[in-house]
Amino acid sequence: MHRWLRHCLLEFRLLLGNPLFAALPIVYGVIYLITLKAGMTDEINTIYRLTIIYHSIGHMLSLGVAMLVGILLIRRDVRRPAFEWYRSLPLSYELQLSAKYAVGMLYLSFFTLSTAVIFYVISVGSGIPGHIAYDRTMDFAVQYEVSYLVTLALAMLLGVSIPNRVVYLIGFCAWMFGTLFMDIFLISSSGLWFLQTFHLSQFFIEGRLLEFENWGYDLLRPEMLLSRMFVLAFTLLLLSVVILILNRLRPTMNVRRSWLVVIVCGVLAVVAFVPYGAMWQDRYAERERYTLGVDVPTTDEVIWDNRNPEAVGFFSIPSYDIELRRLSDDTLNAKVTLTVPAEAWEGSRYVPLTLNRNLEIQEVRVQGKEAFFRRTGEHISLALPAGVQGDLSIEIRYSGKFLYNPVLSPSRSMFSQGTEVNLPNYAAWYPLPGHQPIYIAYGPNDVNFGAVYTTAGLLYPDSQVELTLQGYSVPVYTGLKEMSRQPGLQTYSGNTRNGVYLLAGADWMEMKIDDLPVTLVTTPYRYNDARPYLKMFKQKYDYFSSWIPELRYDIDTIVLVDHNPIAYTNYSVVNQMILSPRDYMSYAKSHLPADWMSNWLFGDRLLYYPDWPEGDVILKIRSLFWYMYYREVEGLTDEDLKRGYFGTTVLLDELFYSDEEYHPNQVGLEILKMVSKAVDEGRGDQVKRLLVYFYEQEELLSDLNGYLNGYSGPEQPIIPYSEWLRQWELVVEDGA
Amino acid sequence: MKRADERHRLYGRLKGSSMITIEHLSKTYRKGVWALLDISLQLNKGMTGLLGPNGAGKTTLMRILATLQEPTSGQVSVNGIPLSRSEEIRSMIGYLPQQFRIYPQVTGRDFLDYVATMKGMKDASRRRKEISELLDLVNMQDKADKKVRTYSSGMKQRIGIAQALLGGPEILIVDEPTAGLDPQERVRFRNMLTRFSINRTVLLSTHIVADIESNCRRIAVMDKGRLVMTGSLEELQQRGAGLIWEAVLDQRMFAQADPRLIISSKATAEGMLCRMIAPERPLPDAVPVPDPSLEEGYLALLRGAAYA
Repeated sequence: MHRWLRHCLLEFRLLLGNPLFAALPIVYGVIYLITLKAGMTDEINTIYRLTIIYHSIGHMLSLGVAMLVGILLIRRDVRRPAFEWYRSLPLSYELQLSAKYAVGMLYLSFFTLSTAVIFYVISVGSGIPGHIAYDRTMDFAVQYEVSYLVTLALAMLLGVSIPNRVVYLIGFCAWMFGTLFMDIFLISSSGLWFLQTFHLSQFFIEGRLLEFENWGYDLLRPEMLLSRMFVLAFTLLLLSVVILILNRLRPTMNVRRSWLVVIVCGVLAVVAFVPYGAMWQDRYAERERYTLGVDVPTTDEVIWDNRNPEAVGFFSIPSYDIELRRLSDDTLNAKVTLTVPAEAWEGSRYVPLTLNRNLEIQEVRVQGKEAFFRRTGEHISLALPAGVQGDLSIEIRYSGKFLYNPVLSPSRSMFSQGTEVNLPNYAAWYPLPGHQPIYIAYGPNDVNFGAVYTTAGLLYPDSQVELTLQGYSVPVYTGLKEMSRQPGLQTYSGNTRNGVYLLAGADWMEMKIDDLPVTLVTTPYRYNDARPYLKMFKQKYDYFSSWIPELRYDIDTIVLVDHNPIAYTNYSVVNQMILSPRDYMSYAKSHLPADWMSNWLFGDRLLYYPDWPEGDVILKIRSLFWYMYYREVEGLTDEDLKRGYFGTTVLLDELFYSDEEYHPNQVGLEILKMVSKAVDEGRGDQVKRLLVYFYEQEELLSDLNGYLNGYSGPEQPIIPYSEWLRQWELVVEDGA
Repeated sequence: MKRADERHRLYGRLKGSSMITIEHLSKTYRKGVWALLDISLQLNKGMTGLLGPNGAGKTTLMRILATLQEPTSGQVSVNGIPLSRSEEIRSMIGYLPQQFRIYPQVTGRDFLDYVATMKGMKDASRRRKEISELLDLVNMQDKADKKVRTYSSGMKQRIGIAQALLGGPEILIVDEPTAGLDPQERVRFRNMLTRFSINRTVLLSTHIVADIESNCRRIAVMDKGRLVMTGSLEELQQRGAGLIWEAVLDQRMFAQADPRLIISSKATAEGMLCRMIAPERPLPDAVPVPDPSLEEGYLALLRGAAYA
């Protein structure tokens, strides 16, 4: 041990004796600090996100340093003819190599340390709870260390295998191949996801899931654990090969032992790869089930029919009683009792239901009698037992797992894995009426949720839902009213028009402010940023709720998350919950309060569409709500609004910037003039009364996204300009 | 196991106090070139000089003895310990390679402390004392605390010698140790080796005959991978008897003479006084040299094969 420590001391002095190497960890930390400082000027960023982005580039570059250090540690003396005296010392190569490796790791840990300390200090300083900041810091630090362990071992292997200077070129190639090339070409472009474990850094440049604070590390943890086990075993294998090569270079008694160690490490690496490989095998098998499986219609087959209730055999289900229990291995056991009114099934021997194919049905009972069923993919044809009549009570027991699977398109992500839950309503994780197409085939290997591209997704019955969730260690958000919350047990109740969406994540935090009947749920690093926006939102809520007698949507939760599987759908409002995923490609988060308020007012965020026909003034009336807000609350003039002050452009474009091709009569401007004049004349209250009148009409709150995306359904509701003029006369002119 | 080792060592000592026994040692490299060919040699206590021209295989032999290289065939035992137990051999030897470099960032004293520790000297005060003595010995005491990067090549070589001597190894293997040393240091070094070789085995490899002339009791001469002679200095010297000639040549004759013939020349008033090597009288005026030098004996030995 004494010799080992002395050897370490020498190696350490030699390494840090090089001013470049001594300075690099400090420079690395300083650049990280500058990146944070510069990045935080963009309001969309968080410390967490900037850190991940920095790591994806910076850590990759630092692996280049690891490669260089590893080669230098070997080339400095081990294989140089002028250092033969070193090899004649009574030192085993095990001792020499372990000392070099330990010193290399110690040095590289300074890179880890510099970013970890900065990240932790800034996190805690900005109000992140200490334990969360610590957990995230450790996530990064462990990831760094694992990458350094394998990279350093690889570099040392190159150093002993290639005696001449070309090793530096080979090392450079290995570094580039193991990071950039593998990232961009092998994993992302070719879809060889299982190669991720061979990527030297796990902070990928392409498709960084870790960038998202929600469903990032916590979702990937099981996979990372398996991957790291393999990486560590592989690192041992590399090091054992290094020892073997060195021991073969000079006479030693240890060659046999070295061979034995290599074989043991090789077996260990293979054994460690087995669970990792099996995981990917399951994932690819899951994709096979979709791409080669049955009953996945093509786009042509489905888009025009999936919203046609008759075509899919849709029927009403007045009530659901759902009991969902999560087991420790993430298996979901469900018991769902649903009612089917007599008029919905009478005359039929089968009841068609839709349930995700990941879920296996164990038992079905109708009116307490066991019933048989036939299943094809998601579609279940339930044979009604003889003698049943009246309203049916159908009890279905099923179980299955939804594990994260990146082989499938990210937008099709659905999972209930530990604390991480994203079970969309359109995944049909509980039985839905009719034979509805959950998935659509876009190509031979491209199957995705129908909801993602047809935007409207599935049809959901108006139902009273009683939901009990067990086995989740974190609060789950469903869009239903939460009735009780205990550790591992939550109950919900409420009426749903668009299904039940389950969302949860580790460390999600809840924020409330006085006199606002809404809870904002967000991730820790968004938490502090979100507070001012919630205050801005309250200002808007106070204004609109002061003159709109009843907001039509009963919102009690806003979920603000980074990760965006839900962003592809327009289900901004699911029952009492606003889903507000922040896609970084979207506009600034200062728009969030207005977004949320639009969601609350209208059910979606659609306030402007260039091609919207001029014959319909629904969008223009929606925009008038915001016009009144900016005039009365913000005190802006028409000129200010036209110039788009305070990011109002999108909210009011329907009034100010009507496309002449589609709006030759410039109805938007006409309406604006009328309202503007009335407000100037002090008749704002009449205008608001008129807006309330239209707000109480079904048309204003209809699902406009559906029409834009062309699925079939009820005819598009229209509020013609003439109706606007008529009501204007009645409410504003006559009311004055 | 320990008892067996002891028996082995005892056997080695009883076998004519032979510290290093080399039997039929051969070494070939990948391209089929034989660097060593059937070398058998016994090295006892005291200093043995290993002479040979460049490429004779001296360094290969020394690397094998220093356990840096596996022989292709043959046996080597050091103090009765076979080469396969090289870890034990390494703890007995001090080795100075032909090319010697050390880390430029450390001081000479630090470096020696490191080597001493690696050689198993745990006691810091003992290490300090021995290092100080060695630094005196190699005349590096005043430079010992300066960084190695400031050393001349001769100074580095002296540190190299010191590191080989550290820990008082039973066997010292030094390959071309005087390269880079100035004449004064060379003399000092020769004397130091002589003192060190008392009760120890020292193998000194060189192609400079003067290095071994005054110190070695025995010599071994290698050429083209073979051991061409072992014996005393006198024996080597006598190899030149009857083969070395002396003659005075004028300028024209000197210019026309076969350069392989002339081994030394000296300008005199009568012309160039030349010593020549040849099996027969090379010139009518040439007279045989009655007492050839060691170098001439060495050259005669190397040329011997050609005259045979």
